[in-house]
Amino acid sequence: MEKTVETKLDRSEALLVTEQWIAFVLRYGVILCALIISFGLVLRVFHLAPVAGNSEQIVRDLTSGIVSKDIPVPRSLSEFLIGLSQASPDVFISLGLLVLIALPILRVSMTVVLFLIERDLIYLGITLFVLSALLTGVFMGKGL
Amino acid sequence: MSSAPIFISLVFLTSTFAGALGSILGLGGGVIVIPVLTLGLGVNIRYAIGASIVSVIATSSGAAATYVKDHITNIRVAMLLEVATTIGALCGVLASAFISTQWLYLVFSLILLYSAYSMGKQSRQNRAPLKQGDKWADKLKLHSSYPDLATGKEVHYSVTGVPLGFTLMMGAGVISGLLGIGSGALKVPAMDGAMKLPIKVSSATSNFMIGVTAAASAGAYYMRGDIIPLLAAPVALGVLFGSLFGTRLMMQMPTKKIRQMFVFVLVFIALQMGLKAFGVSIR
Repeated sequence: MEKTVETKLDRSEALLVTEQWIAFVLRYGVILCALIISFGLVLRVFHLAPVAGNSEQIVRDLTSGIVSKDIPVPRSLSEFLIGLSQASPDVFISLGLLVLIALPILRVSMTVVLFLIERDLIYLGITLFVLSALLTGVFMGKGL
Repeated sequence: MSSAPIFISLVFLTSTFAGALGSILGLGGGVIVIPVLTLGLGVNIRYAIGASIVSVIATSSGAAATYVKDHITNIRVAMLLEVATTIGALCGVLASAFISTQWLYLVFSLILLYSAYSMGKQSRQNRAPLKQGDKWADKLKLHSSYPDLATGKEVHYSVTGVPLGFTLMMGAGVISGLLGIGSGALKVPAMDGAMKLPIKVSSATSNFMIGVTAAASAGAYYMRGDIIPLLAAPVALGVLFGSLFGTRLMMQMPTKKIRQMFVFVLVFIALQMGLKAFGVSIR
């Protein structure tokens, strides 16, 4: 693997550094998310903490093919803070899922920095556009 | 199904299987995990899509990390095409809010058939890197190079077909957002076929983009309340675990034969999803 670095690459120093950072964030970010989600699942499966909503009912709803408004999904900051302080399994799981969704957003932000350093205005515009599209998704979901 | 732990274990195991199979077949987990959840466990396709899209981010991020580190990914091409895929993905999510479940099943069925078709003929050859690109690629500085691990030399390549690739990518984004899958099966042909990127660069860059495309729709699905913790957690962990496992297995398996075999399995699932679209259930 290291051999590739020795071959003279037609890449700017900034690009090489960004590539290293992106690889690092993606790899360890996924591991971190898996750990948070697993922690929440362990809490849930072994009944180590109180659960919001009736889990039997949720499973029944899920396997009956309906769309239920009663399945709780934490969405606001206060819901997260309260849930985490109570060690709520579902809130831990959702936190892990949200961090996972945030990884690509973080990755695009890192590319924004790359193009700032390279003073590449076209690509700075392109990456900022993608970043705003990602954030639009979050706000769009609220309205649907 | 009487209790949550049994449900969680069952979803985890089936997702592990789906993730392993997906990575062996080169499809990604979503295409397989959604039929398993909907046809097998009776989960509403909306929740299956929500759970799948998160697992797509997990599996693509791991693979993307490796490719980026090896300098195979073309970050400029990825950023440019992500404009198309994220717009597409948002349109897909919007559409999913307004079309009926029947239509989702029907479109999914068609995508499965397409995957089966492209898997059946999958034997892409390495062609010589393109020497002369189009004017868009010149302006947008898309031409690049990657180190060939086998020879230790750097391979320079040019890029062409930017408008066509961009348009195809928008379509791939719509499908990804609508169905909660990575749609790598649509992204790679756009880069390999239309833009003439080397096949290695195409698949590395596709993996790199899949996470961002999926994040665009995952954010929306999350806020819409479609990503249920109890379902999405075992799916994400299972598919991730299964894909790691599948990649290891793949090295020792006659993948070509397996691919040909599973073309029929995919066609079978496609037909079942198609029947479900017309209200016929075989469960």
